[in-house]
Amino acid sequence: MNPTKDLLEYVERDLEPVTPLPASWRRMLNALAVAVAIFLLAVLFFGLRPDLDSLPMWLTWGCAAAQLTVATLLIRLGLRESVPGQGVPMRSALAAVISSFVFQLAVGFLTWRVDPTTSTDLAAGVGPVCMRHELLLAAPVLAITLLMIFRAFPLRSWMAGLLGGVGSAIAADAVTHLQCPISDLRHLLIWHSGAIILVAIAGAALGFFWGRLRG
Amino acid sequence: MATSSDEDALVELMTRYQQGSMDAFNGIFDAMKQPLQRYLWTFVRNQTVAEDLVQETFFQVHRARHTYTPPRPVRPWLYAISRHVALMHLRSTRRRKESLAHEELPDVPVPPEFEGLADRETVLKLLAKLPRNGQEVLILHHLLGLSFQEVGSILNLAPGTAKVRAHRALKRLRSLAEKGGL
Repeated sequence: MNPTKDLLEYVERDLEPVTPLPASWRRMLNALAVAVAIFLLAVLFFGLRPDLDSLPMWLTWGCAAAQLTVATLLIRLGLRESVPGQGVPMRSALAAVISSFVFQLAVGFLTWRVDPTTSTDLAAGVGPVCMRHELLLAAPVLAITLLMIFRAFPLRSWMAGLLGGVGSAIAADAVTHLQCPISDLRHLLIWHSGAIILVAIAGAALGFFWGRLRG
Repeated sequence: MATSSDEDALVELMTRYQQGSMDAFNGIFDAMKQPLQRYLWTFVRNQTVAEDLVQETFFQVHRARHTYTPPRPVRPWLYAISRHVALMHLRSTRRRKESLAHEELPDVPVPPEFEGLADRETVLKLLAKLPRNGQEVLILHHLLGLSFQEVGSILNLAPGTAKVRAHRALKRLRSLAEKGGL
């Protein structure tokens, strides 16, 4: 068997030298740089939660840093998944997604235990503002992550998109944790966890459709 | 079975291919067409379709060539792409409800581990009776000579899981052979 005429013509037509893709941790630094820049701007524009000083530092800056670390690891997994032969085992990927979600809930629960505040306007008012804020913070991080994923060659593009989506959302949540003063668990579950789920779905769906388009 | 010097030669070819060498592309095609065809045959059980899928694999390899990072092993990267091509093909034929006549496996050696079980033809038929995931691990490790680490990268499994799967599949193959399970 020899290469067909079509294959040879296709290869010859586009045989420009290519630069090998950098390692996933180096590509991850790009997403991290964008995330940090956007989050600093968000803190500058919208400030920090008014009760920040009354909360222990491990619960505010400590948990935000831990969430950002978890988010970075998830984005790295997504970028690894985008390279053939470096895919993440399904169980490990699901475990990473679920545990990062549980971690976000645990941070919210601990904040509520230390400083319980209630929200009376679950359906309207500040809730949607929080969700929109979190979605807006996550969007650029998701965009740069997906761009890097799609520039590689993901074989399970929905999985790479899901990991990138959850990573971007958890990173955005790390910042909103420092900004949103409401620790009511219903507020947390509906608006903050809801935003994470939406971004995760968006990442997986965009990955899925991109995979279909690429063929 | 590929040796480490074969792998080094593939890395060298792949690096030159990334730099734009057509000869290197032809070299990779020549070196990998047969093992890829054997692997792809296990998905489609048809020689002609397996050959077409080898061609399709190299179309995809060309599109994905920038994702190979030297000096990583080339074969897991290549087999992962070919597996994707095979799964896409199976998905589209299922959607179109096509079915192809199954053929006998052409010119496929039986690995030494299987030789004692039964004659070549029987072993290959028994292999086809195993579940897809067990079959794939056995083919990749025992037939195509990939390490469990490499098999894990291709199938998105931890190396330990690949090893356990191979062990279970081999056990099942032995029990089928003992029962004369044809």
